[in-house]
Amino acid sequence: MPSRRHFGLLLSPWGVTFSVFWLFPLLFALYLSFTHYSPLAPDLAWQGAQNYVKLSVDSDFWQAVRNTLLFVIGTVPLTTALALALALLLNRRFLGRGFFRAAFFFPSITALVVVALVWSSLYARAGMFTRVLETVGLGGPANGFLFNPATALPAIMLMDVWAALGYYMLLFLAALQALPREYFESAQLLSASRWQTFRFVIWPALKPMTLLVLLLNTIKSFQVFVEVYVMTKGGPMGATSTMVFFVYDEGLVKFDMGYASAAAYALFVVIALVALIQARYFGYGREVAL
Amino acid sequence: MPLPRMAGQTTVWSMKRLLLCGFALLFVSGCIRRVEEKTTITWWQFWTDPLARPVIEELVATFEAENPDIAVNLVDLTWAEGHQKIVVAFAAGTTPDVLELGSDWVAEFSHKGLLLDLTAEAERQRDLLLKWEPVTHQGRTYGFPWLLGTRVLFYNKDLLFRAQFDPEKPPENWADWLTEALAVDRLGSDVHGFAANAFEHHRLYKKFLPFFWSNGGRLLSEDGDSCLLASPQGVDALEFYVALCGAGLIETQRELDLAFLRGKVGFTISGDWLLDQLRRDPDSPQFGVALLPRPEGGQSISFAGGEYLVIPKKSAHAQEAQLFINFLLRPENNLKLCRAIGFVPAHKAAAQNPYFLDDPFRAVFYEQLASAQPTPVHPAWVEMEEEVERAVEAAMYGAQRPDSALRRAARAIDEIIGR
Repeated sequence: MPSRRHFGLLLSPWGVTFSVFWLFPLLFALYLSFTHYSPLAPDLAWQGAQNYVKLSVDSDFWQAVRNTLLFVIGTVPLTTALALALALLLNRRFLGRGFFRAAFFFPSITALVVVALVWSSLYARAGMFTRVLETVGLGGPANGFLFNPATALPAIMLMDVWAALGYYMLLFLAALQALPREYFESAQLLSASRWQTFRFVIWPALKPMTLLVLLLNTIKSFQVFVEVYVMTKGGPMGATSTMVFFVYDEGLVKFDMGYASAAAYALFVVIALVALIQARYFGYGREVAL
Repeated sequence: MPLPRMAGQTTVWSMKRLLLCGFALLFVSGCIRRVEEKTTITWWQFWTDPLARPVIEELVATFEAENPDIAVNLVDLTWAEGHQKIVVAFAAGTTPDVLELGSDWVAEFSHKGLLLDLTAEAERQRDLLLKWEPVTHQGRTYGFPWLLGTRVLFYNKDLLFRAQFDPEKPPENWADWLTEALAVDRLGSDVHGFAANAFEHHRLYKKFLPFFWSNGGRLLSEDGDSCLLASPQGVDALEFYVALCGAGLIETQRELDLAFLRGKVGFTISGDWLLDQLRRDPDSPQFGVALLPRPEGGQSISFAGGEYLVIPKKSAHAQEAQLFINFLLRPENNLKLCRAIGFVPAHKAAAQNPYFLDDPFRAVFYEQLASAQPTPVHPAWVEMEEEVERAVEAAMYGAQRPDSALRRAARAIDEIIGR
């Protein structure tokens, strides 16, 4: 019979790594957010809420917040809807189903940096997208998609939807295949239409997975960074600067660690709020046990 | 019975002697081993590409052969992450013994007292090396110029010819330059007059400031207390730059260089690396290299960048580090590396080599370097350059008029100075 002491001992490897690499940085960043700290002048100057006050009037920060929200609102519903549609489609039997499943999943196992570099050249002035638009007589933006303040963010969003789609499709596919056959048989017995089967059988049964997909994708989208770092460095004119990019820029380019920590905590609060709303809306805890 | 006692005493005495000798031997051997033990100095440097890296390794091997008691531990940095790594190393006290710093980074560390004062040694080499400004602070010297770089005008002869200009006569003044760039731009939708950088930090300002300086602009006042960016010369320069960009392709430096290599761009401002690329690539277009065109009544002033060697204050082997720096600065070693990477050696004797003087293209770089200007030596320059870039970008995209964009940047820089 393992004693309580053994229990603690067995937990300690996790406990130690959790405290050292997670809890301590988290609390230390909170402390830093109330100080002025630059690694090159290593005396911490306590500033109270000054960083947060500065944040509230920093137009760059608000631009980053606006871009991040646009990114989340623009990508999360679209990715989720497309992933669900694809999953429903690829759940049917047809020739080459395996190929399509693999093909749609492929982008999500490719390194994001590679995806971003490839798409950068697709979006360039002489890139494929502009050429295709020119062939149909539309013509692309003057300097390619990423160098135009109006098209840069949508361009990154489109790439992100493409890159993230496969992973969430796989999650939905897994959930679909776990549904008991009896559900569909009963629907058939009641001669339910396809839409009715989806609306009253599949959709309610998929709710827990939808919540998971939404949560994961929302959190990931709030943290969008790699795409921006590789493709635009936040430009042109801050049109693609996001909250994590702002934190990176303040912390690791300008080395204003206190200010960067304050921005990071602002991001934390926003993500926590949105996650809470999503969980409340999808009735987390009530239907999740389905 | 004195004998046994004597014998006993002798035994004890000889035992003691033996022990003493043993200790002495141990001590001496310890000393010998300590003498034999090498001093290892660590060198952080940025030259990792396939052409440069073997030269760096060869230099280190030669130095180690000359100084058998010193070993050099070579550590590579990348341009993208190097600055971060260096700042973190200073914060953590894990700095190397010899460190390569970009010209615009030195002030950040020298002004905070993180670098060793090398004035005494620098005085001995003062007249041998070029461009000391970036490592000088309040009359003291904190490093050595090593590799110097500047940017010049590259032009595509084929495109100039197609636009009906003399391909052997590149523009010398701003007015001609703009006319020719616009004409080249009209040659086709896939051909551009000028290669314009966008939103790459640490790059855009290097492109704009030559226009500003050439037009007689000055970034900071004499006493360094205020920013003069929004002067009439500055506004004129930005207006011209924006007009030139209007005849151009806006892209990243990498893509712009590629576009020039593919013969899609009439004019670009670039560094020695592009010259080497153009010469290596069999498909590169007919091109020429010239001094930056000058405004009416102005000069041709380019950006002076470069790489400097410094010794962080925490180094435990400053003497050996200085030996190594002196070795790297010998004309033959300075030249060897510059031939691999295309920079101009900081050592005057090395720069006077026929390799530079007899090559008409490299001679242009050398001539441009003579009048080239470094950025202001200010610890917060990295923050100031961002404001300059923000203003240039806003004007390029038409979000702000050049004068109001520059006024805003000047106010922001004044704030940085006042902190």
